[in-house]
Amino acid sequence: MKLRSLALNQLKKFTSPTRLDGIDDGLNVVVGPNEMGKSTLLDALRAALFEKHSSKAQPIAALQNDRSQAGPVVELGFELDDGLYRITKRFIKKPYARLSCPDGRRLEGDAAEDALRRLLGFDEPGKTGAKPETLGMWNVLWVQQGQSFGAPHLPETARSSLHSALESEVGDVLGGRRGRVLPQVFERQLGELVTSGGKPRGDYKARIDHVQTLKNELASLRTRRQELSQTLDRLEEAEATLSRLSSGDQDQRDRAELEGAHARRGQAAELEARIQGAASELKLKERTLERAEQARKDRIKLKEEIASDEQALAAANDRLAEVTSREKEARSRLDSLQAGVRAAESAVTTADAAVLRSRRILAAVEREARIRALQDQYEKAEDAEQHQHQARQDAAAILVTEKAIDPIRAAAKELETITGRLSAAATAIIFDMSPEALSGIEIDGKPPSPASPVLHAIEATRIAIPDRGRIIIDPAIKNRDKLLAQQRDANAKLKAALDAAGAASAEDAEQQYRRRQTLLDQAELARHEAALHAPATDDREAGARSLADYIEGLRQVLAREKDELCLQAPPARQEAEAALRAAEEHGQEARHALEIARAEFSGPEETLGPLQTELGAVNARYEDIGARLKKRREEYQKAEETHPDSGLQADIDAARSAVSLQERAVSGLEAERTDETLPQLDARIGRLGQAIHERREKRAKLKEEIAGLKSRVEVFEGAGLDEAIEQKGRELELCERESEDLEREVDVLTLLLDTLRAAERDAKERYLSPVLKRVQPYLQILFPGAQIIIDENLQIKGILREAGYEEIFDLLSMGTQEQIAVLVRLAFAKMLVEQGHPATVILDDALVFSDDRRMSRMFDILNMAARNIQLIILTCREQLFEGLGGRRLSLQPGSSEGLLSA
Amino acid sequence: MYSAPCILTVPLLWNCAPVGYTAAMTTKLIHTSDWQIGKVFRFVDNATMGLLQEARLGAITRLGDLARRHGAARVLVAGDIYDAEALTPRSLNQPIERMRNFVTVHWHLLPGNHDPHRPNGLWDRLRRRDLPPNVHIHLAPEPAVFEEDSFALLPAPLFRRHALGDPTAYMDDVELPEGFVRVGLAHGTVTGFGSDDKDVPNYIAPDRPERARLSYLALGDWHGQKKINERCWYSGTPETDAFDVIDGGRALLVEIGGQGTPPQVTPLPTGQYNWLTFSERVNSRANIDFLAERLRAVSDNLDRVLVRLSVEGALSLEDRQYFQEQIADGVAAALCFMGVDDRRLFPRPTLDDLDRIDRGGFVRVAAEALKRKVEEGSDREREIAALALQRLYVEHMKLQAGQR
Repeated sequence: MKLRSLALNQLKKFTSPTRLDGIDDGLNVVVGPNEMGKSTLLDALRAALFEKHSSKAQPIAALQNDRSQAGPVVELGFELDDGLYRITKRFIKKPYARLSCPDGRRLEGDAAEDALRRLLGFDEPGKTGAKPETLGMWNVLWVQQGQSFGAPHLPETARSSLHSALESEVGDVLGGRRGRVLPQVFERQLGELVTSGGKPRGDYKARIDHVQTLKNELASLRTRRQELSQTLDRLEEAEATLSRLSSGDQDQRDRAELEGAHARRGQAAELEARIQGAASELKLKERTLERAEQARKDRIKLKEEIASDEQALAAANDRLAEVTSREKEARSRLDSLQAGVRAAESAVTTADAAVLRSRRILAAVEREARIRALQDQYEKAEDAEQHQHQARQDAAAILVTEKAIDPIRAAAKELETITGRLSAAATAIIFDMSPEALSGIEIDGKPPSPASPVLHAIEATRIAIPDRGRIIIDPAIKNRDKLLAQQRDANAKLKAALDAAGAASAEDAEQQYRRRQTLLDQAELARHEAALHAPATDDREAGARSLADYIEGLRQVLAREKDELCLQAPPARQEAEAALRAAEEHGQEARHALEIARAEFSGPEETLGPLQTELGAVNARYEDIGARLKKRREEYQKAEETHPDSGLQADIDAARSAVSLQERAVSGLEAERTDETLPQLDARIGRLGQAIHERREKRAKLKEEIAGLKSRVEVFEGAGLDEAIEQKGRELELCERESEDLEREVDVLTLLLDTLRAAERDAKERYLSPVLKRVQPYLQILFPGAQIIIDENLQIKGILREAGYEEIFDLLSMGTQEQIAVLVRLAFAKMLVEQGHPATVILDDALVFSDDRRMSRMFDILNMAARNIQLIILTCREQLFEGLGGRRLSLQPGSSEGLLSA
Repeated sequence: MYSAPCILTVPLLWNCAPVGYTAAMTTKLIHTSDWQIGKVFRFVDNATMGLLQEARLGAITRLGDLARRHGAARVLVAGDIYDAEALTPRSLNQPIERMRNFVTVHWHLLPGNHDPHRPNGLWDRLRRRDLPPNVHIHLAPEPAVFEEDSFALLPAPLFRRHALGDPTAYMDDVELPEGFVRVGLAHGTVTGFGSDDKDVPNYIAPDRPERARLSYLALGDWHGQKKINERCWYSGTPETDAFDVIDGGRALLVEIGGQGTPPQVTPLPTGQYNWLTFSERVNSRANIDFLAERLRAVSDNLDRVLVRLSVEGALSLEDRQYFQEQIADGVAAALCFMGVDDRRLFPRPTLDDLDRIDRGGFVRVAAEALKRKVEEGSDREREIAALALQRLYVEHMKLQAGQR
């Protein structure tokens, strides 16, 4: 289908006839600013084709211009394969529909609308007007403003027209409801047997587990059966052994042999006892011989010892004598040396006494000199103290003390202040006249003093001028009387203070005060001088008196010293010092002499100690040897008395002959021994006894074992192991069979599902190939290498990028979503057109979110698509869409002919 | 084509020997063997196994009844009374208690290769308890002489599962007073029958009756009844226990007259269950219907019939489902047991089958892919693919039924 022209009147804002003509086959662009009414054009278009002229639906009512309230009229020219059609509809007021066909027919009303539906393939709208469902494919291809984003909404009607288009191209490849349900059925069945990971579950797993359990149980039963067989074998063997052991033949043989061995052993044992006895006797005799020989040896040894002791005693005696003399000699030498040491010690004592005396003499000399020096100091101090006394007495005679001067000074000052104030207030009377002229004048009866020509009058002053009379000047002084009274008071106060201090005037008082201060200073000076000459020390207080006492003490000490030293007159200092030095030297010499004497003494003293020790030792040895010798002599004496030397040899000879006799007796007995030794016979007896015992034990053990084995067999018998094994084996076989059946079931279902899914996948690919084939060239321009993913309901699911990753459509940007959606619409339209169905694509204000690069590619794509399909682009972006090309259309005023509103 | 089921035909002799009848100088014996008490049947379910085991015990009662009816004073059991050595006390005692009930019948039991006599083994267990006086166990290769009826039994018990040397050899040297009927009782394999090798275990010389001057040698081990010569028979098991047993479910009535004359040996039916094997080709719905009809006709008492059915051929998916419903689920329910081996029954999906699944769409594509796999691939792959295709068909049909 190709739209050719659109005319409208009284439709929304178009209140006058308006036309859009010259719509081309390919790309058409309607540019107009906002509010120009582009979207209204699309509304008009839809109304003309899809709405019933008689409709009272809200969208139709909305076509009416609000103000004019006239019936909207629209006329659309479109071209199909057989030629040009023109549909004119008026709505609401006196509505009509008129279709003029290329064959010249003119259809009116419902007939016109029925014909339109047949031609364009859409459904009759309901009472609420045309809906996406009734519009079918046109809803997908005519995109209103703001609806170009997101995947195109495909109502069932649209889908079915696309399906029929697809199937007319590839045939029926999808399986419909059955195709969807069957895999689900098998999936559910398989899901009951295996997990999504293919691991057995539910019954299948239980079977597999049970097979394992049964195998284990069977193995354990078989083990027990094996045990039973072994127990039975062992039992058989034990019973055979027991019966063999129970016959008793061997026991009899062994017993006979044992008796023989016992008898022979008795004989052998007796012989051995006799040999043993003879051998003991021999031992005894040998012992007697040994003893006799020992006695003789002891006697000889004793004699030798006595001789040796005697020799040793003599030697010890000699040594004792020698050591004693040496000790005595050493002692006498030591005594003489000791006397020398004592003499030296007494010389040191004498010398030390001389030194002491010389030191005391020197001290006395020094003390005397000190007494003389202190005496001199004492006299000066005494003098200074006299001065001090005198000054203090003089000062005390003056009454103007510090205490007395302060009131005097205060009273004088007060008087001066009041007098000052009075004189300031006084009236100055100046006599400016020569002294001659002045003479005769009397002021208050007294002549003025020539020295002071100015008179300060305070009280009324009478100036008598001779010959002239008197001038009375009475100064007007404020508070004069009060001031004068104060002056009098101050004068009286001063007078009293002066009287108290014995001063005639304030000046006199000051003079007396200064004199007193001078005297006090002098006394202080003298006190200092005295303190300097007789200061306080550790021994005495300051002052001449205590110094005199101190000197007196020293004098007494000196007198006592002189007395003690028997000194009439102390020598001179130098003399005393020389005597001390001489005495000290002498003492030193005496000390040296003492040290030498002591050194000489120490050597001999040390040698004496060892000598004395040796003497003790030699003495002790001598005494020991003496005692020992005495004891041995007594011993020898005793032995000789009881057993003389001569008898000892005879004892030895007798013992020797007894020994040789016994030796012969022993060898005679030993010759009687046979081949069978006692240990040999013992071993045989033991062995035979053991064998008999062991057989008895073994029989007992076997009986015990047999009883045990039999009871075990009985236990096994109760279990019926062979039967149980057979039963278990059967159970296992059944279970294995079931498990195999389920395994086969899993294989069958898996194969079924795999096959179904593969077929479904192929089918979908084939089914969608017409759309994909047509969208792909467009997509390559926009996203090189990418593929679009569409499901069998023709919904866009995403795109597969060249890099191989899939992007879900809903997560793509708005711009990209819109671009892809436009491509898919174009592909749908192309497919429909190529299969002979009417299709035109209208985009209202689309692609506004595209960037410059994408926009220019989209322009390429739109131009490409426009070679096959008619495209009408409505836009308000004149500049942006300049690069699009295509035919520019604009609205023109039209004639009202055929568009008459009602 | 199908092979005929092996239904045994047994001469019915109920009326030829009335109860209580005894001919002068005629010794009458019932010869049986291989009771295999305690046997476990691996391929059937628990309930069926209970029935089969019960039937084996029931056979003892039936044998006792036969002995009474035919006036046979002794029943010779030639080995394998028990299926194994280590049995539960119940299994051990059940047959003894059955025998106890027939106080006038003497039961002579012989250890066979399944229940050899070993020291402290099951026979000693039995010996330890007080056996009924009419039950005799023969545990030594020595004659048991019964003066009252001048009867001497020469048993050849087995002491282990596999004995080397002929256990009956000693019988040649057994001397007995004149006038005694000598009857041998043994368990083993006879040359020229099953195997030619004399070194087989438990070998028994078939000419033993002549060499040991036996009136009759009663043999056990072979579960099918078999005559070796006039004086030597395998009685077979009284209740068949496997599909490959021929002429099982029987015993023998042995009547021994004067010395020198061969005994009269008469087979007696004792079995309750028929074990049948079918091998069929199935290629069409008609074949299936025919097979179902035939299986239902094998017996008046189908719940006493066990069937082993192996089928081969190729069926459409629809017919394969029909086979499942008619045979594997339908007829099988009428039988005591039916085992179907359908490993060689291949699917041959027709265009109709496939169209029924879907005329187009990917499910049809998948069905065709599976069909290709059924035709190619390894055995296992083909088997799985066949099952998968069948499953697709069945599930699809279920869905359709559900939609309707």
